[in-house]
Amino acid sequence: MSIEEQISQFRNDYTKLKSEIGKVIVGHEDIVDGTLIAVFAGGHVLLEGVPGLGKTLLVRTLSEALDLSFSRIQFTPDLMPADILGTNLVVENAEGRKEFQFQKGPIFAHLVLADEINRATPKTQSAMLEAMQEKSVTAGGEIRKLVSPFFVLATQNPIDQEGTYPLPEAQLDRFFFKLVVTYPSGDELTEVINRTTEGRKIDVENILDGNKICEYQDLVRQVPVPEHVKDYAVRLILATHPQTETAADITNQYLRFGSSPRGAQTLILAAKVRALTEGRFNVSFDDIQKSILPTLRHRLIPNFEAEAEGITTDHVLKEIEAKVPRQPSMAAAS
Amino acid sequence: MKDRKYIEEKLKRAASRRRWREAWTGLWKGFFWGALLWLTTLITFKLLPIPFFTLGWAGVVWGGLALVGFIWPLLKPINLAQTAQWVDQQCGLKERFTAALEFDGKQEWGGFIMKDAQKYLDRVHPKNLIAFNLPSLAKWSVLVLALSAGLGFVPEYRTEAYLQEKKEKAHIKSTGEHLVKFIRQEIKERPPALQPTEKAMQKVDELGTKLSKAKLTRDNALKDIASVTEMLKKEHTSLDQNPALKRMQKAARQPNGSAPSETMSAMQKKMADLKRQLGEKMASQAAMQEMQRKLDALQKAVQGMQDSEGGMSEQMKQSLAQQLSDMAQQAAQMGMNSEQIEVALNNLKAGDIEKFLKDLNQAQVDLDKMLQMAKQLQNLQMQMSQIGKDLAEQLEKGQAMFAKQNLLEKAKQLQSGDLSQEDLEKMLKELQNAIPEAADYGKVQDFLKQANQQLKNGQKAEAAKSMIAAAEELQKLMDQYGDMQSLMASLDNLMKASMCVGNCMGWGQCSSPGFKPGSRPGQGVGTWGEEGGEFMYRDPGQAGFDNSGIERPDMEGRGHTNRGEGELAPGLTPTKVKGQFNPGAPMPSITLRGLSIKGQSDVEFTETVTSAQSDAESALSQQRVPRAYQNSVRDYFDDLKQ
Repeated sequence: MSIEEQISQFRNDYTKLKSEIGKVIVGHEDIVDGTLIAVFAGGHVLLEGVPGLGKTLLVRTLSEALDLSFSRIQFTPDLMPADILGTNLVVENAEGRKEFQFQKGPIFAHLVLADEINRATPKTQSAMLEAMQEKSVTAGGEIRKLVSPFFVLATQNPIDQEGTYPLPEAQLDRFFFKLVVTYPSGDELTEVINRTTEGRKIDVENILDGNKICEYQDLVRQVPVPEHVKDYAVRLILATHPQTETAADITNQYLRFGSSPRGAQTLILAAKVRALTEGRFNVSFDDIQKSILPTLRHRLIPNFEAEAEGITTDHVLKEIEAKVPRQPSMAAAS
Repeated sequence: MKDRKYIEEKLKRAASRRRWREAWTGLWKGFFWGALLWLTTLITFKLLPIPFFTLGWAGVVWGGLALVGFIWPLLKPINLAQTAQWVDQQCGLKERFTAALEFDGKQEWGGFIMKDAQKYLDRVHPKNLIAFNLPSLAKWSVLVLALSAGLGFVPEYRTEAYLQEKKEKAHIKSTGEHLVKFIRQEIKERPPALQPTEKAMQKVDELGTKLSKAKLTRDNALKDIASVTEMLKKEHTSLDQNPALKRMQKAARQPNGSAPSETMSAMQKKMADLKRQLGEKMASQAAMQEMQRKLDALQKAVQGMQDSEGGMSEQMKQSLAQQLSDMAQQAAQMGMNSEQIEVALNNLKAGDIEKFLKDLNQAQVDLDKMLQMAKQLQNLQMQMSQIGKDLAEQLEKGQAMFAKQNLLEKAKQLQSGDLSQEDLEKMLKELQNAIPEAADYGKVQDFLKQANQQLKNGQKAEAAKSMIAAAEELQKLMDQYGDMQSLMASLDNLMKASMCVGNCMGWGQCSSPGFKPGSRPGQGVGTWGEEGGEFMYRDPGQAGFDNSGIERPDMEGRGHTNRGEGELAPGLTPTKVKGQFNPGAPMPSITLRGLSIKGQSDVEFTETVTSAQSDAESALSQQRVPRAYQNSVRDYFDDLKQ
């Protein structure tokens, strides 16, 4: 299949996928888009929102639409790493001898829902680290590869602070996107009520399988990025580094640490997916700008002043976006 | 590649149009900033005493900025990549054109991007995209221009001290220029004979040059003028002590006593020519003037007759003819040329009035010429009468020029050898008589003595040489006298320069102060009877000499004294002094601030005024006030009465 055909097919599949998910999930288009972009970019997503907004439902629906194996891990304070990764069990073999057999944990699925991930202890959270980054686990001294494609869609509750363990920065950085799930609008709520209280279950068709997703992931990486767009992405990332020449004023005022290079990678990959979804063959400034918030909001560490004044990273990122020009070398058109 | 060509063409057109628009915007930017700079300079000029030419330079910079603003963008090369970025942004193409140029030929994707970009070519219209409209700076420029124009009507703020300094500098410069002009003219007309005089005049030249550069303050200028004046005075004094020069000065003071430019023989020849032209009978000037007056009256009468209705009648013609005939006879009797009058008479008889009038005119002209010649002859005769008869008299009167000519003639005669014994004796006697008179002439006396002795001894050639030597010595003395006159004139001008600089007045407004040796008193308040006295205009806006700070205790009010009607103090004999009355030249005047006399008066004002008025009336009635000033005096005291 030629690239043009592939791209065309990708657009179609994307639209279908979105449409299928839309059958179950009312509204939250940007959340659905963000999740799908992360899937096609090969990244993990952290969904943050108050309970009952459909975060878990979204992940479930996604798993159904993608014909991928799905496992749900409910993170609790007593959850152990072995509960996630798996453990060696003593079993009796056919000959009646006892031996150790590795019992895979729920992480060995294509799509893993890590529900309320911030409720588990740091020890348990760190068990996810290797899996999310390396796409493998080490258990019983053995490295075991996870299936491909592998996604972690984690959720967390922003209001439930007691008994929670905020995710360490190292783990947060491994999430491709952090999507903030907000309350539905009035119309959306009405639709939710209509759909969920009238008894009829909606079936979601399988649109894509794992191989196709991998194919599309390869396709995404081929999308070219013009140099000046790349330069823009780089300048955005550099503007988040405080106490540097390139730092924006707001960065110096409210940030303790800026984005890592992983943020730049994410920005570009996300922009590539967006370009393809819009039927373009190249990345544009708009693609980068639309990806800034979900890509970087969880990678910036605010300082005490920001916390004291209630300045969020979203606010800082919006300011940075306004200040960093798209093309510094070109004179502004009069 | 073909696809790329289309895109590139479009982009080139857009880039070119964009460049012109940048030039247009640049022009207005430059114009605005230039105008702002000019306005700032103008405001500075209005508030501070900066030179006027800074405005000119600011204007030049203004034009330069506009020009540079226009040209600079045109010099920049077209950058297709940048243009593509700009077009993508303006048309919302999402970097399609940029990507198309960047990835053309690279990977398979390049082709897709190019094809995709092609679809959007129609969206790009350079003319619509890049419009030439007036930038906002143009409106601001108009505002700045309007402000500048308005500010042009605002007078500059300058402190009194600055204005005064400027005026002083202008006057110093003008004075310097006049001084230079004068001294160079003087040196050209009368080159100095003595080295000290030459040095002194060079000093004056240097001073004038220095002043004309207008870099000196008033005080320094006055100091320099004073020092050069001192130098010249010294030089003048040293020359003035020469008794020979004193005699020459005395000769110059006589009426018509200034040294003639011609020799005696030339004057005699001229007189003879004039006499010949005027004829043997030679009518007097008065008769000629009377004839002129009659001719003039006749001309006017004829003109009047011509202009009247009916023209000239036969009777009138006959009357005219008779008058002319009488005039011709009179002219002939007086020895005047009556030819023209007779021609006029003939034309009148022939009835040709135009010619007649022309002839009358010509007769006037001829008569006028004769009158001038008669005057010239009279002047020459007067001059001749003043010249000394012999060498002794010439030396005694200080007529060095004639004495020199006399000596040279005698030397010539001696050298020619055509003299009789009688002539020789006459010559000897003349020499002997001249020797005592030559005592003041330095070496001239020695040479005359030598010549006398040589003549007695029959050494004619040597005597002639001695006479020539004496003549040369006289010439040297005349040169020294010329130097002295130059120094006098230079001093005069230096005094005038001092007055101009000191009083901050123009050169034409300052008259040479003080008395000049051998001439009439200079102009000024209180000097009466100046012939052709000029009215000195004084600009009321000028800050003149301020004497308000001067204290004159000797001028305090003396109170009401008993004048005594007609009584004279014992021992005082009334004498009449005849003054020189003039018909009434305009009264010279300058404005002076009066003395600030402060103190307690013991006399009532009205009494003092009444007393002064009665004195004034008495002076007016007794003609003690010159006619030219009587009205002014009368008016003044009449105002006092009110």
